[in-house]
Amino acid sequence: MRTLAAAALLLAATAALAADKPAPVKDAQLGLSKASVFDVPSPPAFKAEEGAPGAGPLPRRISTEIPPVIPHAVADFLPITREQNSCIDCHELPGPKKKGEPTPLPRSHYADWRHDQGKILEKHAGGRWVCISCHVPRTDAKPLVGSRFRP
Amino acid sequence: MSWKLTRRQLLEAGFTTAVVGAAGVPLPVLPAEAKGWSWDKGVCRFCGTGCGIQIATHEGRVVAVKGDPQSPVNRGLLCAKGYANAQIQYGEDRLTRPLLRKKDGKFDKQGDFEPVSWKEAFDVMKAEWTRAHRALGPTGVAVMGSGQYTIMEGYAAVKLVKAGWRSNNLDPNARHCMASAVAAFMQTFGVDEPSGCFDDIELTDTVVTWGANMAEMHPMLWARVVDERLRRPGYRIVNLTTYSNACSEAADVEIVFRPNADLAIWNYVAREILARGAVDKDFVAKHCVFATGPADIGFGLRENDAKAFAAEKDVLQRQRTVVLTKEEAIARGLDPAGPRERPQAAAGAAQKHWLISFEDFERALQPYTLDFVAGLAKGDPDEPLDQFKAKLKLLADEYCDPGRKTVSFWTMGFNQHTRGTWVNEQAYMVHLLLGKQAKPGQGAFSLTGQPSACGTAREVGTFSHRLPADGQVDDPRDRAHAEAIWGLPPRTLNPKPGSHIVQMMRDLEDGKIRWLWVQVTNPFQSTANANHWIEAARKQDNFIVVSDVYPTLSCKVADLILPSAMIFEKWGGYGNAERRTQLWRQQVQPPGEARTDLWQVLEFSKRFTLGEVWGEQPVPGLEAEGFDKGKLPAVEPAGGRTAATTLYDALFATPEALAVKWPDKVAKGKRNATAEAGKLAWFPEKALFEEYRKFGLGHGHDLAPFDLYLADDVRGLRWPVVGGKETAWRFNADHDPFAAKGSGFDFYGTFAKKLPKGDLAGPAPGDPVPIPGKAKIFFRPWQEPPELPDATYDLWLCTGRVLEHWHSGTMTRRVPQLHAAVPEALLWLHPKDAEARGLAAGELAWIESRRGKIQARVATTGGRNRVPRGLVYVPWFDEGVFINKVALDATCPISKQTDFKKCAVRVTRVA
Repeated sequence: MRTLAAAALLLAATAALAADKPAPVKDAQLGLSKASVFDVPSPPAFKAEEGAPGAGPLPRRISTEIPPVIPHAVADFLPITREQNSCIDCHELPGPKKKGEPTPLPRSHYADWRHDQGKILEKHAGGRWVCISCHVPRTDAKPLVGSRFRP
Repeated sequence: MSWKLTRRQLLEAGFTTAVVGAAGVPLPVLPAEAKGWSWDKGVCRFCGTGCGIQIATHEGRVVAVKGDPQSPVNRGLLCAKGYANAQIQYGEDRLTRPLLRKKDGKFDKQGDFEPVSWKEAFDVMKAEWTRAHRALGPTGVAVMGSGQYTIMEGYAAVKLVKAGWRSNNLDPNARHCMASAVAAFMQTFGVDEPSGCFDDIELTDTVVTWGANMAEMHPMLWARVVDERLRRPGYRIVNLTTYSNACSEAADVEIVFRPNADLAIWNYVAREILARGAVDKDFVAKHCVFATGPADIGFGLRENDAKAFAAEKDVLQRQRTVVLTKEEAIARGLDPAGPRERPQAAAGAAQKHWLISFEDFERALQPYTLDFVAGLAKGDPDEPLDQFKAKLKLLADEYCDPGRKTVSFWTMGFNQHTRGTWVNEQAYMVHLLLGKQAKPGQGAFSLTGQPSACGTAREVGTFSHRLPADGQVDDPRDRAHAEAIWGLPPRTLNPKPGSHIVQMMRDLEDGKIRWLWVQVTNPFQSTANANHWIEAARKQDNFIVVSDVYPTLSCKVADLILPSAMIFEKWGGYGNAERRTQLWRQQVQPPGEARTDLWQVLEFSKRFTLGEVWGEQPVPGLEAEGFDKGKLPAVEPAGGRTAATTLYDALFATPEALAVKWPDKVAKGKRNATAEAGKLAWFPEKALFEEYRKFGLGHGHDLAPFDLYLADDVRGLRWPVVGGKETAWRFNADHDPFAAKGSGFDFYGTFAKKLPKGDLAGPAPGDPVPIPGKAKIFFRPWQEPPELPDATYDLWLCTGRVLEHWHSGTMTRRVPQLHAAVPEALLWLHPKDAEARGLAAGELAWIESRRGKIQARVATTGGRNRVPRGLVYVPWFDEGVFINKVALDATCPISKQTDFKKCAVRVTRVA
């Protein structure tokens, strides 16, 4: 609800700025929090993704060049420690992807550019151990602002 | 970096759609993709790691970004933010026109924002500048800059403010980020920036992280650390922190210490080094001296409490007088039964220091026994003391083992610290004692937060006390050198350091600064104790200009908002934490009427004549040899300049600059938004870079020519670059051409290299002694911070970042997948502390300090941080969870860097 209101305000503000005879914009309408800098907002509630791996369809990727987000709940699979990496346990598969199975690590993840000039290893490259450095989890939070990025 | 890549290798690197010619085609000529994309090299917009990237453009837009396999920094990998380099410029609310507060058709501070032309924007901006300048002189105007300035932008700002306006009120957000690292480098080595480099990660045996959550804040360096740990069973990671964080997950040992106790732990380690006979006697005798300074230096708080809220006054009192605790007295070698009230007599002279003997140094360390330090340093009340002691001993074992190479990394945990300079110096103390410094795989290494904190803020010298290449405004030789390069009459430059960024906010509140231009930063969100500054900005007589790409929180308090170009909409260069300078070409055009920050500076400079700014000027408090008290002399324009010459012609469009022509073949057909908007036939970014280089050549700050950085086979170069060769380890004669041949090691910096002798009580009378080539081993005592949890505010508050968001979130919160991953800042609270307050995960809590209160949602177990009882963590990226309204603006008295890592708060349930 709050997000919708924010989006509506933002649209109004954007439209105002774009028009030739624009209406003045109040500072509280600018930015990501539609509030005066003197206000103390109550941050909205959000929910982390709760679906089990494979439970739902894979979300559409923003771009093939951006690492896919983690489409399932992560709480049970983190942290990634030196001894334990649940992501690798499931996803280190030879591929190609089979229906009902985890998405295999792509070939790029086996190339070691640090030590071997891009040689393909039998296991994933060590620099890719901490999966969540690149692959982010998701929540139900809606974007604060639209994006015009088009791959 | 000369190896060639085959098509197969490219495909395997993830360039899956790349069309590559015959085997052996080098990466730099990465071919256009089947989609018609063209690729060029660049550098990541975000942290101080400086990952190399490849940028794809198509039909005038950035369409993708990849990690550059050829970059030695990241070898093809990027973090979640790194990939977002392709997306950050495409938020729908990009600023594309100047916006001015107006009522009835003219500027009014109480008005709402209306789009105006650039001409009207600059007209009002200049009129307001003149009003402030006439009332207050050069100290009444200020520019807040950035560690995210490109090198050229920072250099242009230095010229405009310091040479043009004769003001030193230019200071970057980097003051909040690594000023303590700078001060410690200068005091220890006499010159700024690290001796080592990132190669140390693979070359060392033990990585010790102190107040550095590399796993979230420098993820691609952490990837290297973890990679090495997994490859080499003997490699070890020790993580020292005030709460359990993501680094702990890969660490062999985690040491959770009480806030500020890092100083005591270092002294324990140093004491052990001496007690175990682990000192590298030869190294210390040849290359080091011992030193200390005054201890009663205050906490960088306001000297008076006239503007303080009632609740703030008790803490401000500690700026003037401190009653030492029993432990603090012992830690200083005082009799704990004696008087413990200490006036903070050296608050204004915190940087002073003097030589002491080894015997004094050894004596000073004596109180720091394992029992004493463990008692005050244990940070997790639920950890058994014996276990904590065993860990401290193990830490000492790691450092003392002569057979192991050791690197210590730190970031904001040390730098954002009321004893930030000291604790940085203590890291060097331990590494120098052991002879584990300036050697491959060995050294104390300060990681920087911002992409060009080193390259611009430090090397260019956008600090209020600096000139390019480590120059100091209060050093007559450095001023003369700058005046010669800039063609200025003698005594043009102002010898009195300006206000640092925290002081600028205080000056704004005190009415001492009435005109402020904010560039490439969001200071009204990022400065602690923010309620004061937003009130001053909105309700007092001043004029605030904010140049930015999106409407930020600072834009909301501004009077004029100027739309800026983003990183790949302009030419630029950044310098990362290992002295690597990386330049990039402009890839796409800025949207609408958005302009480069450099164009804004050049264009604004056309509105000033020398007659207006180079006359006699009042500078309150100025006292320097060759100057009358309290003023700058009128200086006579020379060399064909007259009183009517503009600052643009005098400083920027010089004959040398005009000779650097645009277009230039180095552009390979790419455009230049600065030159186009200014209708220039010269290449401002290149001209400024080449002029800036003159400051560093020949004394160890040597940069390569502009074009070399853009060569296809170069992935940045670590300075000093001599004869086209970069330097991996400074001060080491095997690697650094500036270290005297045959010296082994030469700490050749010249700052503060003549010191009086003295003892632990103070300097003795007598002439200062020169100590050329030496590094200083400082003794620095442990002390409590200015604000401690008490009955009312019973929890420690630590603030910081998260992996997914950059700084104040203005770019990354507009990237859909990053926002969806971490939509808001949470309050990390121990489950028992939550329970005691009737709070459950996900519920709303008040966080309140003496300075303000805000709301956030609670996180307890799970997730990336596990805080001990008694401490809470809140990231600062979220303007909707404005934690800097709560944080304390205490600073290190030497570096003036804010301690964002500790103050006292209470947490209650939102009814």
